[in-house]
Amino acid sequence: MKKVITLSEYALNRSKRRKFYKNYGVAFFFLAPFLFFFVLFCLYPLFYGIVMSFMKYSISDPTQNEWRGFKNFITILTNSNSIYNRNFWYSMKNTILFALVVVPLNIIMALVLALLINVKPVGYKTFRALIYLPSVLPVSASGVIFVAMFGKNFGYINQWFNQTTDWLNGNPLTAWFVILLLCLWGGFGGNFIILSAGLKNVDKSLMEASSVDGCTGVRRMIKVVLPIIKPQLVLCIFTTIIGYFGLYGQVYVLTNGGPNINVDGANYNSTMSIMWYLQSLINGTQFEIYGMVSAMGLTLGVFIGLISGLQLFLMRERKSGTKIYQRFKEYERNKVEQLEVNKHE
Amino acid sequence: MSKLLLSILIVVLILTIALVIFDIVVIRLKKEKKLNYNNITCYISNNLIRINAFYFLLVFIIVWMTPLFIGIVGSFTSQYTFENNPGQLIPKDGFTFDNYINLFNKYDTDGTRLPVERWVLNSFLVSSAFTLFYLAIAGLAAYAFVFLNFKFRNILFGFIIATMVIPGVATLTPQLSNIANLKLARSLWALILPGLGGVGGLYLIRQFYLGIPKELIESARMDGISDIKIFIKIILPLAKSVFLVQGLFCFMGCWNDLLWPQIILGTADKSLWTLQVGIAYISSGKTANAIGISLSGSIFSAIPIIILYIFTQDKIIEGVSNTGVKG
Repeated sequence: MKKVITLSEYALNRSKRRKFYKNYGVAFFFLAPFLFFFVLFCLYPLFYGIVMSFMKYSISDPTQNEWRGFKNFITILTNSNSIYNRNFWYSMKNTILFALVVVPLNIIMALVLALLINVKPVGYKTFRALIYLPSVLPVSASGVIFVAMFGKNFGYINQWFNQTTDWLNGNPLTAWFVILLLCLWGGFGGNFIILSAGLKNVDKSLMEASSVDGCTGVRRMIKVVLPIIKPQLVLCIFTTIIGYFGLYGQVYVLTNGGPNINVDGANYNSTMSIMWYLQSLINGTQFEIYGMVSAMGLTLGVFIGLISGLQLFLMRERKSGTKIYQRFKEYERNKVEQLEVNKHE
Repeated sequence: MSKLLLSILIVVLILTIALVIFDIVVIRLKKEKKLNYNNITCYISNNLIRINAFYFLLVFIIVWMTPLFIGIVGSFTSQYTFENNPGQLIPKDGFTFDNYINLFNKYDTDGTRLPVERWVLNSFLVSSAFTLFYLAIAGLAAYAFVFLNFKFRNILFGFIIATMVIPGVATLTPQLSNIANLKLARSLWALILPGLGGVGGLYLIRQFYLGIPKELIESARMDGISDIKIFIKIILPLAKSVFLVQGLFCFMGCWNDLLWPQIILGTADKSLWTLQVGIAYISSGKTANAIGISLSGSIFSAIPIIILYIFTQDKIIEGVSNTGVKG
């Protein structure tokens, strides 16, 4: 039996359908280009990488490809006889130690300078622009400048102080020191800008009130200022840590792996960072280790993902950072009310 | 030279001590209320912190700018000076443009000339094409995420944002073979296209759109204007500043990128390289007989960025601080 529909129902349905198509057509038009590239260059490589990490994968000769199960991961995580395992953990250790040294330096320097800028001395905008300037320079350019400064025979530093230190290729420690200087010079501008923007939000009356209560200097810094800029601080710390996991250009330009050292009978590139190591594997002559490299990349990715997860967790309670500020506002409001009440009486 | 450095150091030290003594005296006078108030003393006692901050910032900036200064001076120092009597900020045989001229006449170990002008062109093409494409794509997508209503809109956006946690490293090799499968390897498209799926800029632009009142869009829609026209006539003029900032970020990021071009372009065809890859190649020797050219190359590769920065530093700094405040 045919279903009978009235004209009005038909019109309503039709207009609904048209509206639906129109709505979704527009949304599709706006979203499609982005989604296309997102899926093709973000999602697909991710899943492809997970598949690759379970394989012996060669980019030059697909006939060599074979399924290896968890073997790649087991090699990376447990087999200490394998050269991949040793190099992976060695570069990982280097990177983490370097981050542990450089991140506090970076943040403290950024914070001190942000505090100095925040009192707005004459020409502070120029100062701010100049402090940020090295951060926009390309790494290969600033790296070459540092090579010119710290080179052994032609370097300015050696000549000025009458030294013959081989900064970049002699001792691993001095090589790391130069890398650290370059990282600071070309790397902390962003943190500095973010922190000084955070300091701008600190209420002046709050500072005055705290100094009236006898809370000045370092104590005021720790108890009042730091809690207010906590969101920015957390953001800076974590983005900097994650950034130094990607340490590559500085190492490549300055030392390219650096002086070889011998640990327990095995040769290592002493300034090898994890990204430099992965890059050297990819650019190397062995084409059948792509599965291994993507397993390493995934392992590193899990590390970084955990760190970002921790960051998100800490950022969730960003309200606690403004707790003191809110309490102060409340206190001020109460005071005003109290005054008004007193007036009426 | 070390004498000069030592004397500079001593001058700075003396100035710092003098400033500290000055501070102590002013503070004590202020406390004992012995300060004789006139215009100058009034200004000093009110702005004591500022004067100190100015001094320390000045010293810091001088130290901070030294490497850049050395780089610029070094690029005008002749190769002869670097090899025979290095370490002079003002070389005895004067400044020359030789390094910049030699940069464009540099020959590789196998006798072919390094195509530096081609690298410059490549860098410009890649960076500007990437910037334009990305702004168009991300601007449209952000519009859909803010002003259009469709099912799963917020879930989709949350999912896209969540993928930001996954670092680029994890997808380095699969991305590489993905590019190879698409037959894009060894071409400049391989530098432009992968970045177009990036999420960071989309997030920044969306944050800005959220500040545009929705009633404006609604009323425009009531008047029967199509979404595309709304985007072009209303959103684009309003969001000019965020597009400028994001465009600058894109351009600088793309211009400065070293790792990805190095991996994807390989060493076979040097005419495909970008400027950064080429400069890194020229300076990889790190010997005295190439340092002049390396320095000139690196300053040369930084010039576009420095010029951009000088003209737009206000906007860039504002953009960076917005990424922090909005989290």
